[in-house]
Parts: sequence; C-alpha cells; structure tokens
Amino acid sequence: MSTTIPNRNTLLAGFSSADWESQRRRVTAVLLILPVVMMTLLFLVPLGYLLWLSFGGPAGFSLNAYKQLSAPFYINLALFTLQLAFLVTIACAVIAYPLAYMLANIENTLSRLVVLGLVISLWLSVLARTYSWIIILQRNGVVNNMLQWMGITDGPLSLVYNQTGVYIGMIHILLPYMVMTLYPTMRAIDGSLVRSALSLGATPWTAFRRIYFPLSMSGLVSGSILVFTMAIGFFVTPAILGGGSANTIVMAIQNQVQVLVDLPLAAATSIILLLVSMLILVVYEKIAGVEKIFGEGR
Amino acid sequence: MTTATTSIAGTAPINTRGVGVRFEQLSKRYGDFYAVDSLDLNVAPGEFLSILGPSGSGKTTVLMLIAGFVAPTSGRLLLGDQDISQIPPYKRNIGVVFQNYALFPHLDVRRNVGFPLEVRGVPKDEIAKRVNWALERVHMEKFADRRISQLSGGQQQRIALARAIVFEPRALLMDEPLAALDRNLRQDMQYEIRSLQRSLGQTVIYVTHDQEEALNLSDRVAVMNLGRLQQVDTPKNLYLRPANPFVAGFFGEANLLSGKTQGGVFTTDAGIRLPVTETREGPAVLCVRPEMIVFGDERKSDFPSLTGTVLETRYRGSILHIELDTPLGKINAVQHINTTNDAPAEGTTLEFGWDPNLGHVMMGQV
Ligand SMILES: Nc1ncnc2c1ncn2[C@@H]1O[C@H](COP(=O)(O)OP(=O)(O)OP(=O)(O)O)[C@@H](O)[C@H]1O
Ligand SMILES: [Mg+2]
Repeated sequence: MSTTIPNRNTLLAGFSSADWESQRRRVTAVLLILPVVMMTLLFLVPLGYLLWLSFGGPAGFSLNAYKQLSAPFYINLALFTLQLAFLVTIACAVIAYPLAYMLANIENTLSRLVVLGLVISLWLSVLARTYSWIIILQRNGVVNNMLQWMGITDGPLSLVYNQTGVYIGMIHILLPYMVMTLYPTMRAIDGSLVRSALSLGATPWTAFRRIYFPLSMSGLVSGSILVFTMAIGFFVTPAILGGGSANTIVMAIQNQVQVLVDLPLAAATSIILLLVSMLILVVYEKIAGVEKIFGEGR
Repeated sequence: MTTATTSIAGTAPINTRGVGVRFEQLSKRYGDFYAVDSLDLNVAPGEFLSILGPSGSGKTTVLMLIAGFVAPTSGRLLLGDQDISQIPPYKRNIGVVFQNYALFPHLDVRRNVGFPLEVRGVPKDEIAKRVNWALERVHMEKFADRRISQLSGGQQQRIALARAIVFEPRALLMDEPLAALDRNLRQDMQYEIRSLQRSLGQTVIYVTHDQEEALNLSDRVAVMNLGRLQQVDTPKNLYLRPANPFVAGFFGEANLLSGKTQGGVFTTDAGIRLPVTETREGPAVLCVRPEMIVFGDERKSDFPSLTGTVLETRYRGSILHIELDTPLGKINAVQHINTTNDAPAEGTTLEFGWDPNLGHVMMGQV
C-alpha cells in the first residue's frame, strides 16, 4: 500500500480483503478515541486522585488511613455490607427467576403489562420508591393494619427502621434489574430445545434442569453481578429504612466525609470497597463463568 | 425401546423394526379453524412416508400431534396398537428431528447424542458404545468431542439424526430436515437418510414442501391441503393417477379438462368427445400430462384427433415445451429433442392426440 487514502478507482474496484481489514481497523481506532478520552477524564483521573488521597494526599505519604480501617468497627461494617448484598442478591435471584420465566414463556397481555411495569419502575427515583415503603411498612401502615384486621397479629410489627425494612426495600428496588437481565436471556432460548429434550425422553423437570437452566445461567450470572455491585454501594435505602440499625460501608464513607472530615480515610475506604467488589466479581466469574458454559466458540 | 435395550449384543444394537402409526379421524382445531381435519392414515411399520403440501396445510401440526406437543381436538392416534393420544411426549419413544436441528448448544456432540440414553438411566459404558454406534451410522465418529457451534449445518443435521436414532425410537419424525442445506448437500443427505432408514427398518414420517425430495425418498407420499389429506399413494400413482385436480397440479404440469364421462367417452364442457378407459359415469376432470401428447403420424387410430395452433415454444434443457391453442383451450405439450426435430414455428397448425389408456379421469370433480 503506497497511499493510505484509497482513491476513487480502488473504491470502485472493491477492496482486497487486506485493504478492507486495515480500513476497518482504522475506523475502529478513530471511533475508540472518544470513549478512551472520556474514560480517562471521568474515570481513571478521579480514581488516581482517590488513590493519591488515600495515601495521605497533600499531607505526604502515609498508611494511616489503611491502618485505621483495620479496626474491628470497620471490619464488622464490611462484613455486614457483604452479607446484606449477598442475601439481597440471593433473594432477588430466587424471586426473579420464576417471574422472568413466566414473562418470557407466557405470551399474554398480563405478562406484557408486567414487563412494562418493570421497565417503568427502573425509571422511577430510588428515593421515591424507598419512601413509599415507609408508608406501607410503618406501625399504622397498610401491611400492619391489614395483618391486625385479619387477626394474624395482635399488635403492629416493626417492619421498618430496622434490618427487615432494609432487606424489603433493597430487594424491591433491585428486583427489576435481575428480572430485566434474565428476561432477554430466557427469551433467546429456543423453545424447540426443550421440546426436543422432551421428545428424547426427558421429563419436564429433567429438561428444565439439564437444558433450560444451564442456558439461562448466563443471564443469572450477569443479573447477580449487577445486583450485587449495586447492593454493595447502596446508600439511600439502608440509610432511610434502616433507621441507624443497618450501617453499611457507604454510609461510613458519608460519615467520614461530612462528620469526621477525614478525606484520606474516606478515600481509603472507597478504594478497599472497590477492590473487594472487583475481587468478588472475578471469583464469581471463575465459578459460574459464562465463558465456561459456551466455551471459546461464542 | 423396552424390547430393544435387552437385545443388545456387542456394539451394534439388534434393531427391532419400527412400529406402525395409525390416525383415526384425527382433528386439531384452533378456534373454529381446522389445522388438521379428520385425518385417516395408516403408516406401515418400517415405511418411509412423506407428508407433502403447501405452506399452512397442516404438515407440522400432524408431526406435533404424533410427537405429543399438540393435543388432538378429536380422534385417535395409534402407535403400534397403543392409543397414544393421552401420553405425554417424553413417554412416547418417538424420535424427532426438528427443522433447526435443536441441538443443545451447551453440550458437546457426544453429550448431545447420549442425552436420550442418559435420561433413561442407561449405564455409562453402554451409552458410550451406543453413541459411537449412532455416530458411525451418520459418519460423524470423528466429531464426537466437538462443540455444536464448531459444526457446519450439514454436520449438525447428522448429529440431530444420530441423536434421534440412538435410543431406537418406535418412529422417527422429521420436519423439513434438509430445508436449510444447499442443493448438493441435500441430495447427499437424502440418500443417507434413505439408506439409514432401510438398514434400521425404521418407520419414518417426513415432512417436506419439496416434491422432488418427497418423491425421491418415500415409499408413499401423503399430500395435504388446507388441513385435509388429499391422497396417499406411491410416487408413481400420484403422478399417473392423481385423486383430484389439486394433486394433479401439485406434481408436475397437467392439462386439466372438466366435463362428464359416460361409457368410455369423456365429453368436455364445450361438447368435445374424447375416448377414455374410465367406465364409471358422472361429472369428472380429465388429466392429460404434457409428455403424453403426440403429434402427426405418431398418433394411433384410437387416439383422439385434434388440431391446435402453436402459441409459443421454449427449450428447457433436452426438452421442448409447446403451448397450443386448441378447441380444448390452452394445451401444454413437451417433446424430447433429438437431432431430427425442429421447434414448430409459431402459428403452425398441428394435429395432436394422446393414448386414451394414459389419460386419467378423476371422478366427481368439477
Ligand atoms: N398455535 C396455533 N394457533 C392457531 N393456529 C395455528 C397454530 N399453529 C398452527 N396454526 C395454523 O394451522 C395451520 C397449519 O399450520 P402448520 O404449521 O401445520 O403448517 P405447515 O403445513 O407446517 O406449513 P409450513 O410449510 O409453512 O411449515 C396454519 O394455518 C397455522 O396458521
Ligand atoms: Mg411446517
């Protein structure tokens, strides 16, 4: 290639495959400039700043912040946060799977409405959805009144401003994300695969276990990753519905910034949170990896 | 299955012949639309039967009824002498090859083919033997450890076939299995499916909309239209003795003349009298295939004697098509080309006729 810009003739004559390849690579490179710049400016630079801050920042290098984080107070906080995110993820998976299955496999107006409802709920403010749970779960809220009216409980249960409320609220807010990741995966599973399994002698349960479930696994994995990462960094819902009884790492960071005004400590906490999340994702990918299911073929 | 598993010797199972399939007044209705309407059909054990018909004629529905994925609205379906209309698909022991192959993408070839044996609880070493046997039958033994995504369309087709025969089903159903393959491959696969079916003595019900394929493969062909069975017969009879104008038109070109027949004479609606061998009487349609038409001196004394004007001639390979304007209406004729004949010029008047023994009368058709 003597010239980089193809002239009219070569355009008309059609590219050789090598020309085509290099042309495509050049276009790809140009298109990638913007995302790379954005990533650097909006993501890597702040992250670098955070890292610098966590090691003392302008005051000079020190491991002080990280030493503070090894206190039992922070360890417990981290464990609670992980437990919360883990249980919320499990609960979302268990509730979302049958729901998504029905939505993906039953074609009627109701299931279309439910899908629409789920999509809309993703647009609603988390704050509004969290506050509405207070109205529903408070001592003289809908649920308690109902339970007492039906004679199931004598007095009001405390369902909010404690961990119960946090779990309910977080599961509710994160459930649509799980459903909406599972749904397209399940829609993409060819119905003739299950039918074929049945014709080959598999009972409906075996066909589900051996064919449908493994094929829906990739959706379950990405849904879980999404929900888990969102849950680990959740602030609004545990802060409002927890009433001080469900303190998470993120709430500690807020405290460090606004009350303690210890920016290096807050930065170090953020870095640790980031590393832990990333580590968990890597381990999870290794265990239930999508790659393993489909091999290098896809 | 039950009889077959016990009689396995060495690596190759001793095959029981497939069993027969019988439809008795079987119907499937969606709302008030009959997808399959009062189907009566008897498929013999070991027979290769094709179901042929235009799109929407109910072919897939018939297969799904046999496989058990669609429940009949009324009627009976017998496999051997057992009524299976109420038995769930996984207890029917019928192999199905789907049009898109329906191979399990997350399992390799070996696991795919072994699947029907695994779910039946066949021991591991037995599974290995029979998977090898089935793969050999379709010449795919070298591909046992491949992933499905690493196979071509034709190879996937073979694996689907191996998977459907490995558990020695009582019948094998195929829904347009070759539709996605290119022409040459399709012919190879036709040959292989046929020889496999012969050597296994397997009952096969094969859906296609390709007439050539149906005629190549089948012992008998069932022609369907609008949910109704039009005719079940051998390929030869479908061509020479079609039951009605639909079947006549479906297999090759046909000159169809409507009128009535009485005492060996067919009178067209326009009043032209033609000799036929049919002795029954009543309204009827006379079917004359283009290649039955002969010209000039080739006619014998008992042939009808007619004249027509050449409208158009066309060469198609070794065959010359002639379109004539005649008192019977437009008549199509074909002639094999040899070195001595030339295409008649347009506008030429020709005398033509046909052997009354070959003309076919379809009674009761208007
Ligand atoms: N679940 C259903 N509900 C309503 N109508 C249906 C249903 N399934 C099939 N039909 C109708 O039944 C008729 C026969 O369908 P079928 O799939 O058996 O046709 P086919 O002969 O296999 O056609 P093709 O060659 O296009 O595959 C069609 O008119 C179709 O619209
Ligand atoms: Mg069909």
